[in-house]
Amino acid sequence: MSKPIQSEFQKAAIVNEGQSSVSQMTEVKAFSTQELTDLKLIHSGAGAPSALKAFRDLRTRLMAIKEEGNFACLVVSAEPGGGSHVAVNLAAAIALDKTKSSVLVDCNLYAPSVGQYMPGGADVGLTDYLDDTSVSCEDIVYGTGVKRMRAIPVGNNKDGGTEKLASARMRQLVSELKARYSDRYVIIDAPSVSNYEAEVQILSELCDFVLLVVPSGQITESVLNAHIERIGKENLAGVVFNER
Amino acid sequence: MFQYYLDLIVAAKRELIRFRFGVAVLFTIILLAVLFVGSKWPQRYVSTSVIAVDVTNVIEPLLRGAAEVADLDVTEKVGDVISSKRVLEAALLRIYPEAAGYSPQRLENEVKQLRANLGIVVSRRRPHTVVSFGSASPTGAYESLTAIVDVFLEDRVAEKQKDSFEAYNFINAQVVEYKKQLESAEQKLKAFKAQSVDASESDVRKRVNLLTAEIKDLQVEIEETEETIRTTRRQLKTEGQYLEVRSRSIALEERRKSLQDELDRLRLSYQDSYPDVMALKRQLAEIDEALRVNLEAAGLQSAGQASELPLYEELRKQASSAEVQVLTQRRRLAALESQLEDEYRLAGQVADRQAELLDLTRDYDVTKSVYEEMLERKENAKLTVALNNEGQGENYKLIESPNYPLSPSGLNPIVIFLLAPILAAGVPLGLVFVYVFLDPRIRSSSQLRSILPEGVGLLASIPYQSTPLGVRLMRKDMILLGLWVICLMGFYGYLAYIQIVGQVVE
Repeated sequence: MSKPIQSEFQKAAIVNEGQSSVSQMTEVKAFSTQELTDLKLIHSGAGAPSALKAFRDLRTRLMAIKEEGNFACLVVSAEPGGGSHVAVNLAAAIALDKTKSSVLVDCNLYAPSVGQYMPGGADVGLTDYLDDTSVSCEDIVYGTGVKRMRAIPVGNNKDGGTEKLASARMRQLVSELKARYSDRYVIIDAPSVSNYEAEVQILSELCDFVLLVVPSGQITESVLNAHIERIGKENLAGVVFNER
Repeated sequence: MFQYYLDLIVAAKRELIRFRFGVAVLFTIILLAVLFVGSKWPQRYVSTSVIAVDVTNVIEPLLRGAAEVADLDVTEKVGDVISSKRVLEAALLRIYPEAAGYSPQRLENEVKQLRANLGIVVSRRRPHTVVSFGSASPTGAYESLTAIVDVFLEDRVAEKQKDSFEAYNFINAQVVEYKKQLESAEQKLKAFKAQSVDASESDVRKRVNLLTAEIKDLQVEIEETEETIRTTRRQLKTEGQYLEVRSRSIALEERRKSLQDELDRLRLSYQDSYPDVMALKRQLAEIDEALRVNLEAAGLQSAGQASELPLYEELRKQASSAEVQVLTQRRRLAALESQLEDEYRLAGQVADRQAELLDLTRDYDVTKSVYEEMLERKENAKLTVALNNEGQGENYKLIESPNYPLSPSGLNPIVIFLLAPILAAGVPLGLVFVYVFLDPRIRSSSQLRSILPEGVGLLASIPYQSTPLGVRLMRKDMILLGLWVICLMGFYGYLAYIQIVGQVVE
């Protein structure tokens, strides 16, 4: 695979990735309040205060679970729909704290959604990285319209997604993302556990904990218990109810 | 619990928004359907009448104490009679005289139709029956009910007279029947008395006792006679020895006499030394010796003396007489025993006849008693029939004659038109609530929190977020739906108004 073409802006951003201070991270052009609202992203403006509060509380509770250092959190929905919304807003909520940053890894190979948050677009992504060793971690991390929030899109080659996610490079990527910045939190957006149980199992082993999103009016108690059983209580940080 | 209902309402609201177009369609369909039903709702006019019952049972007093009569609920009977085929057919013919030419099937259908429109309500507190008749036209309701009530009252009058007359006939027939029975009982009693023997139980017992005593006496006499015979025979046996000696002595004397004659004849010719004379003398001497020995053995002097013993003869006479007597006594005993058996047989017959006599007498007495009572009742029945003809007995009074209905009854179409929007809005709303209530899927954070397994916490509840575009689209949808509902309600109001005005004009 050829070296992906990157914009000047992105190159500058990646150059700055090599530094260890969040404050020195180069940002792409931030979304306006209107754009954030259109993308259903939380922001500190007068948008949806209840949603902002909910994600801030969620962020606080997750950080309380991992008292020291950053964490890698797998956000998985019980049924298709609603999981990506929670994942991106959780990443945005973490990034609201000026001392912290977040990176959203789009592992939802079957319904990718991260691309819309990257104003500059992306040439290569996660699957390119997993396929091609010449692609480095820096190559696939892109800036988003949210300050201090980065994103890794799905990429161009989605074939054999399960095997790719189970590869050593995937494990290496997550470790590298966590290790590079102590104040950067890795949020992985996974497909729904009801349809892609194997992917969820693989990804849950790479993360510190799993956040299960329960969309309103989608599942029954028995199905929920079955999903919790599959994920394992020990891996589960908790459950988030999404009214959608 | 409050939270549960709050969650339910929130979830229902969300589903209403989700299915907003479906809800609007359902609202429209129901509204128009109710409008259609309201416009076609049949007008029903009901005429009512009240019938009171004044009961004096004719049969019951006549048969009181003698026989039980069915305790009929007269007010219920009114309903049964009014809705009976007989009354309704008569009423139908009165309403539609041409119904006389109807086929049986059509007539039956018309009667059924009348019965279906007929309403009968029985008042429990007072013996009143409210009879109503519903029809599409007020005149039809009034005329039909008037005809039905008139036919019913006429029918009751006729029936009442028939009842009392039948009651009298019944009593009369009973009197005749009991008279026959009484005569029959009398005949039987007479025949029995004529046939029965003139013997009472005590007479038979006396005769049995007498016969028993006689038999016992006779048996004693027979025993005595038999003892006499036995004694006489023993004595005769003793006397027999003498008889033997006597007969032998007589034989020896006859032999001696013949030898003596022979000897006398030989002496005439021969001397005593003649051998034959000698031989004869020797034979005579031997016979004399034998005679002497025989007589000595019997203690007699001569054979003639023995033959003259009177005791022997007397004993023989006595024995013979006793034997005759015992035979006579035995025959008499047999005759007495036969008489005794007859008396015993007679005693059994007397008991049976006594029982039969008692039965016949009892039958006669009971029948006579009932007959006399029925005669009295017959007189009462005559009086009752007379009273009934004067207006006594079961009377039906028309408390309220059939009224002419001025306004339709039942559900007013105006109410239907007014309720239609509520129904049209309520049904989809209710369906959504039912759907949310029955659907087991998790729809609220509180519900989720309550069912989470131990060790798994609810970290956050993310509220619904909409985009400005979504808000705009939603607003557009809601405005469109609102306009649709307004137009629909206007159209509906207009049609409903036309319907109501049209009905008022009618």
